[in-house]
Amino acid sequence: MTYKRKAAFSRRGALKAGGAGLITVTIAGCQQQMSPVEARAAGPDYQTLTQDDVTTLEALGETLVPGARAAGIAPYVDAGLSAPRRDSLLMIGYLDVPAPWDGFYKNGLAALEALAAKETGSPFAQLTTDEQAGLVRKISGAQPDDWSDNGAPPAPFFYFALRGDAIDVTWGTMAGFETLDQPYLAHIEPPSPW
Amino acid sequence: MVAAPLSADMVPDESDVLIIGAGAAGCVYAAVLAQAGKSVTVLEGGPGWEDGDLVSSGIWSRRLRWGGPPTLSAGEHPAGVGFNSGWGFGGSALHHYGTWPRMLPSDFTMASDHGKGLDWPFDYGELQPYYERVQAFVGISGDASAEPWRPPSDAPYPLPPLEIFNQARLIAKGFDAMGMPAAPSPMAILSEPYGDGDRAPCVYDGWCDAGCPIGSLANPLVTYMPIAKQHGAIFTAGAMVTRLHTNQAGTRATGADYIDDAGARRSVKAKLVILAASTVHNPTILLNSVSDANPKGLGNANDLVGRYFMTHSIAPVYGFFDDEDAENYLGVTGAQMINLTHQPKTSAGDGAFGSLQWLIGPVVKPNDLLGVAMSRADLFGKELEAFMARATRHMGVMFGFGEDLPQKGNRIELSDLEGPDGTRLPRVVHAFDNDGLGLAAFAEKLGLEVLAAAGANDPWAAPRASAHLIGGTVMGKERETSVTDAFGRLHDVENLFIAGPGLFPTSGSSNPNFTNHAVSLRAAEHIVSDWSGHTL
Repeated sequence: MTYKRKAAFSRRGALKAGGAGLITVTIAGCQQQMSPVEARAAGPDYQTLTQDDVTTLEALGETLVPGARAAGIAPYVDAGLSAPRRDSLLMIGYLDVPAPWDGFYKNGLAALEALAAKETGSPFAQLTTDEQAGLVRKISGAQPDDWSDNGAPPAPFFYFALRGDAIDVTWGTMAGFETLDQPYLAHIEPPSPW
Repeated sequence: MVAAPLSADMVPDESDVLIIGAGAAGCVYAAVLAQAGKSVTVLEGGPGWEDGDLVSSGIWSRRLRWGGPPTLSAGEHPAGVGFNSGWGFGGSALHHYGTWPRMLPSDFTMASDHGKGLDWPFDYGELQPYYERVQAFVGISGDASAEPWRPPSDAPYPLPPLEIFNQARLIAKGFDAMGMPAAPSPMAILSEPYGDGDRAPCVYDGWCDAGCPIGSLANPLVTYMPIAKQHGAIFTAGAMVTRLHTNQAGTRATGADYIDDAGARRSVKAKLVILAASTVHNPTILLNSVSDANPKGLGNANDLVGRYFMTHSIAPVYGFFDDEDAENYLGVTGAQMINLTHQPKTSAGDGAFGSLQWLIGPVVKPNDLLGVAMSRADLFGKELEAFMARATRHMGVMFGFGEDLPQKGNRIELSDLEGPDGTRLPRVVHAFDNDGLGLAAFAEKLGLEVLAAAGANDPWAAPRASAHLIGGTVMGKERETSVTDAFGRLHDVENLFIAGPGLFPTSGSSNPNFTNHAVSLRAAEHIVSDWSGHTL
């Protein structure tokens, strides 16, 4: 059966989506709204994540979903952690983890670095792609014996949540749908780009 | 872009009726009672969503889920509380999928029929006329003649079924091959123009769970809330109720405390109170409403508030239709087709008990919990990329919804964490029993067989999940085994009614919102018919 897009809907108010919603980033002390991709290119001053966090997060995101770094996983996560809980769009918001979630992310990233150091002697971001994949495989299904318990979430849960973020920012956007040849079919388009 | 909350100064100090929660149940009550001439105030903890706020995005849809003080989820099989909860006008019905099967007669008499679980305080026949009236008002699309499990005395659906796309058509071949009929799913989504409003027919873009801004899907913003507002009901967003007030004896509700959008503590009074916050927050508010007369919480003399919490198990099964465009991006989030062959409680055989419902061919977007990528949570990197390239246009999916029996140990209780205004935050404790686990295992095995019979390549099952929040304030005939009477009235408090699926003594396998509407309509009209009996 061939799909035929129906005539434009008419319900009052359906097109009144506002423009609010680009992530707010701080660059050189000034707050600006921009897309995650733009934010990454401009080099934002992260509000919650440290540069070390960002380095590990981008490397982990890229290992989970190729393209996540360029799609802006770091500013996306930072924006979600820095927003008031009710405005955060991170998937962790409905995974029944009490906010705030910065400890979940920061301690999880630190635990991954500790695991990388113990197993390879190098930071996660400096490993080969095969080595990175090996470590991610190790945390994906079960808790490694040497996974830090210093406030880090269980390793498989950390993997699940971060994988969800990487998928969101890479494929859950209008641009991401296009890379998958998936029609987006919006009633109301999201504030660009996610 | 969210409507500003009504100033707390504009909330009347006293009303005939105070309704706590502007979700599906609260809006039905508000419409009926306001239409009957009562002054109605509705306090909602979340934002005042409007249809233009409903952005088509799995990411943005998360604003519609619970955004208030946290709820802890615990137990051997924790329920997905956050994902299944709502936040703001419309409640969880704002992001629900509009899949509206009725519960079946056997769901109401489980204890009598099988010696398991609980009985409802009334039978299916009592609720049937309310189902008919709700479906006539809301507009349900479906094909009654294709559902052999449907009671023959049920009225046909008022609208023809929604369109069926390739994904469901392909999977239905498997059901046919196994002698299990698959029917168009009954959906509270308009297949054609209906009624005299401005709700548009469905355009099949599959963004139902992000909220339907064209009003095709029957969320409360386009069904009962407008009626309530037309008759003067006042809806206030950003008003988080913390406790109920009673008289000194604890036998009559007199009002409630709430925290307004500016963080100030306020109180309102009412002649009658409807607690329609949610399955989780109704018992939370009752348990936090401690007084000398009710030291264990309001209505909790028998330690039953919060108990018999239930959630459906989900068996997700998938397969590839590599030679077809499965059109899995077209349709609705809920289901295109449905099967209830294993609705009889013992039909799954030894080691399992309860009803099983298949929802077939929901739209799958790339991301989010029910998206393509999450169907193989073990994959990442290049393997995930390859999977996405194959699955995006060729994956078929269906979900087996299994009944969860009411167990006293599954409960909503207060945790040690402090919430607003010195209250304690809720914790939901849940584990499936052996009957439920057996049913979920049966569903997974059966689902894989159906997909193989449909010709799907490489069928697989994802880990068991859960959906819907039911029970915790169950109704019944005896106060020793229930929290409320057959109308949701707290046994010991004449003018306090509980609303929502928390009242259900059994879960069946049906999505609960249609039954929620019917139960609410029945109770609201009962209140109107006996107003003086409940308020004098």
